[in-house]
Amino acid sequence: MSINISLGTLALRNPTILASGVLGTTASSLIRVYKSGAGAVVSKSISIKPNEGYKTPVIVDLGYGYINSMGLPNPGLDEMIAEFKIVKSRKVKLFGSIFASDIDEFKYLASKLTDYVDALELNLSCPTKIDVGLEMGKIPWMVEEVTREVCNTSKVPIIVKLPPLVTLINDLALAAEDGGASAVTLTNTAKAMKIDVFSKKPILQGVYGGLSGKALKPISLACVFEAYKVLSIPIIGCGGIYSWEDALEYILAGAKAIQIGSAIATEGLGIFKKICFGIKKYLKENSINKIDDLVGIAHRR
Amino acid sequence: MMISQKPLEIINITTHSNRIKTFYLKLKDKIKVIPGQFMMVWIPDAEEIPISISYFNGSTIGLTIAAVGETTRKIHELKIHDHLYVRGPYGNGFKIPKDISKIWIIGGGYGIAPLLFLARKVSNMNINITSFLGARNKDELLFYNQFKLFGSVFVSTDDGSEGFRGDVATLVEKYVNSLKADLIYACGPEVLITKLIKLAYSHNLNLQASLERLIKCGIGLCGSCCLDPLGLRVCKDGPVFPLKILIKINEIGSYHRSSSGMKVKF
Repeated sequence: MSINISLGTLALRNPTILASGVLGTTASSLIRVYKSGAGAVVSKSISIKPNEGYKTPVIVDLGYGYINSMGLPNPGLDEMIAEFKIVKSRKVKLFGSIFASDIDEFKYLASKLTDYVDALELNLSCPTKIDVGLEMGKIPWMVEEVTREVCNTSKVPIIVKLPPLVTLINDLALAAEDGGASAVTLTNTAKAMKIDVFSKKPILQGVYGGLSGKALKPISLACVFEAYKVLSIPIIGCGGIYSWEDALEYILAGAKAIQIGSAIATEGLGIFKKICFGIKKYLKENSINKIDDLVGIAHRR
Repeated sequence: MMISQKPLEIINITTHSNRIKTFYLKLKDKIKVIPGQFMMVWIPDAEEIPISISYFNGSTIGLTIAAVGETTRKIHELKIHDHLYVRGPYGNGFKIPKDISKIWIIGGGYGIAPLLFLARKVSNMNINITSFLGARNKDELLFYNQFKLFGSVFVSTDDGSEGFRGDVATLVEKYVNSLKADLIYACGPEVLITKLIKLAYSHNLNLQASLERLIKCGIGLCGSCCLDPLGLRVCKDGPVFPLKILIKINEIGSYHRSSSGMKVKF
């Protein structure tokens, strides 16, 4: 029983992927996560220049989810290329996540990184930082334009990561497809906040954060279900996946692969293998040959 | 475990020196704490920082805090009945194997704080404790009198105002052949830990040491405290690591990472 999948020309040994923003800055960490069973790993989002991110507190644990406002910390393009060289020397399936202020910056990042990654994921949707590039994910024609420009620059497939809670997820997803994206990741975190009632102030230094974890799952799942109706390119589901059942829900809704982030805090790095084991067992028990046969099945009437 | 930033009342404050105070907080929830674990500590309009636990009795928790930055200086202004926000405890603490009878506790600077909590716990277990404590000067030497209650204490200060003049690693080296221990517990500046790893390895002694890196989330997600080359997280896989792991972490004593993730040489 095999659970390998393909996202266009990208072949993965299994459908579990480390989500961007989690344990993705150093080569050591990315290699460790891949070795612990992920089918691919996505780096932390990279900018041209180093970025320190927000000061702490950067996370609130709600019990039913997390709100983080890391503020996209990363050591910048040059340092990350050095880390990526180490990651690639270990034959890790690596996706590089990038963010930028405008299309030219996106193109520059893509052109510099394309030799060191298996795919690039465009972060057009981080809710914690107010930046033109990160607002692009809400406007269909901008999504299409940036995707097309980056696709023309890159030798590797382009994945576009989109936000939840937008008016029309279909329009955004189709814009990415029309721009030439090989896949879309649905979804990023949802803009959220937490106020301390004693001091009467927001807890996070960045004020707003991104809601992830269990609270996000039903929201992202609905985005995947909706976008599957109109898309031809594969969908990577992301948001609150803690178990093989969660992963399977996303697959049934239309995702071909899934990303895992927040769950690592409580479930540990064993979660990738655990989910793969659960999916394999499910396929076997139901005499299903491959994951592809389950993708989007929940749409059948 | 307190998952979210929660205000706890300060019920006592002990001043150890100009720079170092211990804040005792009244716990509202039942929590389990192991020596070597840490709490994320915050007050509004300041940053959230990891602080190791120096005291715990089930209903009260003690946090020893040195005023070294903006946030810790603000915390030092707090009075009894004010509140400190905490979440935790987090991380892996010191492990106490069943078959040990003689230990060394080696601490430098405010790294001594979590070791006091450890010494208190171990002292009830019929284990012989020898402590080596180092500080800049006599005034900053933490918990000297408390450690005396648990066994022999050897002291070093950088300026020689108390005990041996020099660093605590050099002091330990003097005794390493004459004294024997089943296990060494250590916490302190990285230069001390680096020397102790070499010392323990070359003398075939067992060691557990607590490491320090930039901790942002505290729950093993953000990756700011990842160590090369194994990708271990100080906040989740540590902060306490055994010798067999410590010898593999080749960045120890060499570099750490800044807020952006850039390597910074020691």
